[in-house]
Amino acid sequence: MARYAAGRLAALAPVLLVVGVTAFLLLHLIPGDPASVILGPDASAGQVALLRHTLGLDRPLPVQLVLWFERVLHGDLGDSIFLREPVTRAIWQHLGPTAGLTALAEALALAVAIPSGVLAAWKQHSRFDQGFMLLVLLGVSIPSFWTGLNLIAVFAVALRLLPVAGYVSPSHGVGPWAASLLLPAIALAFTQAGLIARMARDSTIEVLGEDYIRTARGKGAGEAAVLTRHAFRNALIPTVTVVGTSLANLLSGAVVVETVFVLPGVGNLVVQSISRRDYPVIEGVVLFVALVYVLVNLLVDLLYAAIDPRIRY
Amino acid sequence: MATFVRALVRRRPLVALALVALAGIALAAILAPWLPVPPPDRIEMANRLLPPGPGHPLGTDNFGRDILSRVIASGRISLAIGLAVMALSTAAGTAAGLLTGYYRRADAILMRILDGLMAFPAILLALALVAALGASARNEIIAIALVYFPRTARIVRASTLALKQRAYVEAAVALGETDARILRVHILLNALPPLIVQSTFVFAEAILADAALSFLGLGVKPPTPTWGNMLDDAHIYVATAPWFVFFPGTAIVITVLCLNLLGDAVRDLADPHAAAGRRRPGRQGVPAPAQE
Repeated sequence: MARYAAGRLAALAPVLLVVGVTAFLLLHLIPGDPASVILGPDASAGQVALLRHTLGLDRPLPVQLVLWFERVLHGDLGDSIFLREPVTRAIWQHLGPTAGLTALAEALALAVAIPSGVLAAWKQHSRFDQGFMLLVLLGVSIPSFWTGLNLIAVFAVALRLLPVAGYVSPSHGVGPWAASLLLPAIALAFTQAGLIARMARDSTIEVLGEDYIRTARGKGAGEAAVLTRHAFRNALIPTVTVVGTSLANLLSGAVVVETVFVLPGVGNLVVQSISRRDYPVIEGVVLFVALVYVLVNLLVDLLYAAIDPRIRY
Repeated sequence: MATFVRALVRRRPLVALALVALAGIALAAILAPWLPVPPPDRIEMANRLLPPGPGHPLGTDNFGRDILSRVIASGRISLAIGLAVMALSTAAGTAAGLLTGYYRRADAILMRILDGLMAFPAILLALALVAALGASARNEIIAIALVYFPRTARIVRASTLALKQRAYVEAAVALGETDARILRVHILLNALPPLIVQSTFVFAEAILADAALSFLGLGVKPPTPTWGNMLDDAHIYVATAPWFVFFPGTAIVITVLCLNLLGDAVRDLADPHAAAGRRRPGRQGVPAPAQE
């Protein structure tokens, strides 16, 4: 297990290097001089020169890259041009809604997806299974922000059950907090439930074909016991891996869904920073989210190896 | 081709419906300027936000423009962007996949870079790329293709690695055929089925990504309509004119759903093993279509 973990960590280094270089290059993709683009056409030559110096753009590219990595490794993502505060602080202040939203969406998706996936596998080729597969495809074919708009139209506007938009901090009570996140979480969860349910179904079908299931049935175990005790637990293992992947999709979807529901999260921060041409924040958020994603996938892989001793590096 | 479609429809009757719907959407997009609908940019301020009714089967938008004509006109742009992304990322992904699968040295470097690119959530990276390059159709296509081509590369690489071991490839090597010919004739042609399936999914993903980017104002700018920027215009009227939000989104969902149905059915036909009990969730097989 220790060797496996060390191997996985070592494999991470080149990925992190590429992630860093990509994020670094974002600023340099801006056509022309980034400093004058950021400041707009009204800026004086002095202001442009000052910003070029602040961003380090007046140095050779390899030097900039090395200095940039040195800063990032010390946890310094630079300063926001618009907010006039460190990028790390801006991200930290916007982290709450995004973390709550993705966690709630993931929990909802798992709660719906795993039982229905197992059931669809058990009833493979039945009407239920066919309808299930169609719903799964529908889930991955709907833009989650559009699902969100429809949910607003029904539950907030027509039925007046939940707020249209806005975020309530959990310090004002857990109920209002959950109510403010419920619709966006459902919008995001619909897609994720599809992906997870499909994986749960496929791995249950595979497990149900194994010899030990035949043995369990042969010795007279009831169908419910076979499904829950023998099939379900083994089918759950591959499903765990999807959780890592689905987190990337959730974070991606959250960028757009937060805009629809006016949630002050990291996605909203990045969208607003784009219209303010606040490139240090865009760069910082992209880097931060990629790091979170890589670390969560590492944890999932380690968890996977821990619960399934057959997996070795 | 006809035999193939017949086999497809026999196994999945819904595919017939998907094919008909896709053909209809494509035809409407191509023939848009000649269809008997009002011009998509004709403003009638007296008829703002009319619900669906005679004259305007899907209602009108906030400038009194006909929503049906605008949904059809959007199809031209959104489908063209999807096709361009598909072509670009399939070409780049195939080249990268063949190189990394066939040459060990290329694999060590190039695959690390592709792995790194895949560590970014798709929409977020596309968003940042468009923000840096500037919002335009061309930059949007480049950004989305850049985000999705590593996935295609992985699939082509997996096929190449498997096919490289086959006796007929070894025989071709022994006969002194050039690498270019081996890659083209012996490997690429045999790697086509999963590649075609993946391209269908990339097309679907590209339409979703374009919708998200245009919705955030980073795609094709109004007054040229796209499904995404129509939704951007519409979303503040969700309470007063829900049809304005409903129809552009429905066009996206129908198009993407049909593409996913088709890709799924072709995959099952090309790889029956994958259809029954799928393998362990490896990173080798054709991944399920991932959202955004």
